[in-house]
Amino acid sequence: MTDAAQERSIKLLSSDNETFQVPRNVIRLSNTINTLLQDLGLDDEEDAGDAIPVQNVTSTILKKVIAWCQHHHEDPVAADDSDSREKRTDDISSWDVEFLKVDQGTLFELILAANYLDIKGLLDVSCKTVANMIKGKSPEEIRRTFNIKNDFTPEEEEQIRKENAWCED
Amino acid sequence: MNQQQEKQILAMPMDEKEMKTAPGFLKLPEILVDKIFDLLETREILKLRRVSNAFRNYIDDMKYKRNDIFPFWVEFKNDTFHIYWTKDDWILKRRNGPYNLYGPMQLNWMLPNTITFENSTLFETPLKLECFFENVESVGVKALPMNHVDNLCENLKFMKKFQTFSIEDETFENDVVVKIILTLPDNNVDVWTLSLCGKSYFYDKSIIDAFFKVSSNVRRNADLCIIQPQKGYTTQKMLDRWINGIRYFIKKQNSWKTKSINFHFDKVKHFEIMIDKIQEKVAGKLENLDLGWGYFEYFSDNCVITAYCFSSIKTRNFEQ
Repeated sequence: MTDAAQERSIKLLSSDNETFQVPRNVIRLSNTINTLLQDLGLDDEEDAGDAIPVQNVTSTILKKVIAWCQHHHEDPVAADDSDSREKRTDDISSWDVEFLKVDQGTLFELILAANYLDIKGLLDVSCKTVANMIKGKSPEEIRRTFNIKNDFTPEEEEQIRKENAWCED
Repeated sequence: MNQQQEKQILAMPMDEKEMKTAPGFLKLPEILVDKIFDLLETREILKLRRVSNAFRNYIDDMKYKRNDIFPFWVEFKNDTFHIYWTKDDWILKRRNGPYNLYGPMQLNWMLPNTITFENSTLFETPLKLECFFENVESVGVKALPMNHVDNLCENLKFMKKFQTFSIEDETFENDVVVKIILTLPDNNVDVWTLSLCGKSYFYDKSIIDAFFKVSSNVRRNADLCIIQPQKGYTTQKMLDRWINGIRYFIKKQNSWKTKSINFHFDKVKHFEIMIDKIQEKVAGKLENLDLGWGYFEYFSDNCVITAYCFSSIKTRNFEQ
């Protein structure tokens, strides 16, 4: 990538009308933005023009997304493992672990934003974080983690316990 | 969330006002929920069924998406009989669990309501059997009547990858029985028997539908009785159901000569109790009561009743 390309930036407009100036090579992690710029023929333009509206993402979340991209934009491109049945969730970098120490609402909004902007790395790591909040916990611990009400009747609970008996140690 | 935060959360009293019946992520688009679930082992997903109704409902609906949650299922599609088998090693290892709670139910769940069986469907069109098994060493198929066997053989070439498969040569006029015997590497055997029986009613959609729904109407209106463990059935309920089915059938077909009844429960202590009870109930009314593998069939001259029973039942606690 040329220096000029690295210096290029684009503007993103959050759903609450806050504008963010983002280096092009940083936001390149977003396939949605890439496709948009390519479709509009703006990918090689010095000035991409008006801010690109990111309608589904608030400024708070967009700021986090940009921060994540800023940190990861020089990461080597990962091989496409979409067909892999790999269920590993313990490979989250320490930086990402710290980055994702947020309240659950923010975490879920990050997942939505990563999906909308098609940022695979962020989507993967945020989904893994949620999965890790479930793994190894008892049903009661999961309820507490997610603040879920146990809405089973005692009879239903016993029934499900029996149904699940075969798969639980 | 780090461990310290988790501990704090777990230690906190739950605020009833703030409690929800579903976590935020179940409100995410389905594709994202699935992505999260894809990161979980099957046992973790099944464990979530115990968290809340929202989870249970979501996961039970996932049977259409995740073949490793529900060990196997079948479906008919475009005249083709499909059997899907889990690829999940963990399930296969744990398959001695009572997944019959799910297995037979797949028949009900997966068959489209609109399916129709017409004469040409089963008797003139080759019955195609496609299996997507891994870790399954043998598949046996018994197809009746015998003029279908060749077609079946032709369509079973895919089975080359298995060590053996067989098609048994018994013939019962007007009956079509497709029996799939699955032998897994640990020498466990599952028998899944599909019996389509009788004459005129064979082509009756309502009967075919009922066939898979274990409808009591079937027992009232047809010479066909399918008895299968139902989700949530206790042993006693299942036993009662079987006995009632046998009783009914004997009563209804009183003039028929019974050929045999085979039970699935050999070498399993718990089943001896059941068998004793069944023998007690039907004593003197059947010529044979054979204990054997896999399935329970009641053959008469022109009818078969079949109960689904899986080796997985082995480890269920029948003393409950």
